Amino acid sequence: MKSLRVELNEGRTTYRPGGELKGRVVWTAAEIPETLQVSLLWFTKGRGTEDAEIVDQVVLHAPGLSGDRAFSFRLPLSPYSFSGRLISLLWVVEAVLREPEEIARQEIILSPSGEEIDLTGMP
Amino acid sequence: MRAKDNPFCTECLNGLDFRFFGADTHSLLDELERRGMRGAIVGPHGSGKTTLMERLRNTLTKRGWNVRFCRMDDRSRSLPANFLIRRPGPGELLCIDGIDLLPAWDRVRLRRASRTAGGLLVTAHRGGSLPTLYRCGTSKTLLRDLIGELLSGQRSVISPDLDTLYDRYGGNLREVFLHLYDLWGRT
Repeated sequence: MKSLRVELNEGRTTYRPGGELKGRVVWTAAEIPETLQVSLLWFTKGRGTEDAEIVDQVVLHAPGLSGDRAFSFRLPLSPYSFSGRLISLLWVVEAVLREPEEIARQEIILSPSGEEIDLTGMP
Repeated sequence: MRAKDNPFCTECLNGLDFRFFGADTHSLLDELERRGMRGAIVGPHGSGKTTLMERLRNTLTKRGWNVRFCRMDDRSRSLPANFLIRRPGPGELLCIDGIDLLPAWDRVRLRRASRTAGGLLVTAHRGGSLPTLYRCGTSKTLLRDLIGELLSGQRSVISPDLDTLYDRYGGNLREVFLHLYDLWGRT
């Protein structure tokens, strides 16, 4: 049975800017994959055009039919996770197995307060 | 309401499946093949041309085509400098979303390049020299169907008059969805 999941150490989902994010990706593929890519990225969600940036990435070639691999990323100082009425910025750790493509994501919060910055109250 | 929770956010709209009338992806691609891999998706603003092109593009890539894609919009009205820097080969399909916005000189370059490419697929507001592969259109029924999908499982906190919205924006569903985004965002 195929599966792909991202697990963050200690089950953490909130991080401070500049901190370290550690976790592991666990997979069982239906067919032998060519690559396994683990990315740290942010993307926007809301009204109009979306934006995204991959901040860091680890690529494994010929990862094997199943496995368990640790990863770590140094988190940048910005941008912070935030939500307004028009736009939200979200951070995720994303694992992608190819081919065939399987994707697993784990959302995190990146902010000095440990909480998403709420801008919905702003005019 | 936070942007990420708004059911009319761009990500949610991009997840909507294209609603065909009298065709499907495979019959459309069969038709494209019959026409020498040259065709145009035609329709007014906000009628789903880009959504359909995305769907066809993905299927063509899975079928082994090397798709060279470019989207025109108000911010980008010319082909990127490197788009045709390398002559396209027979295994490559040129896809242009919004060919109407291209200036004449870029159209000439594109026409020349398409002679060596395996095919050319475009979106346009009106038919032109390329055969019309599919004509996109909208209706009030389609609008209700799409909103039903977007709001599935959610309690609707407001009840906009969809018929009036549809008429107000002349059937442009993109504009209707932006209006609904703003409406939901105020809740």
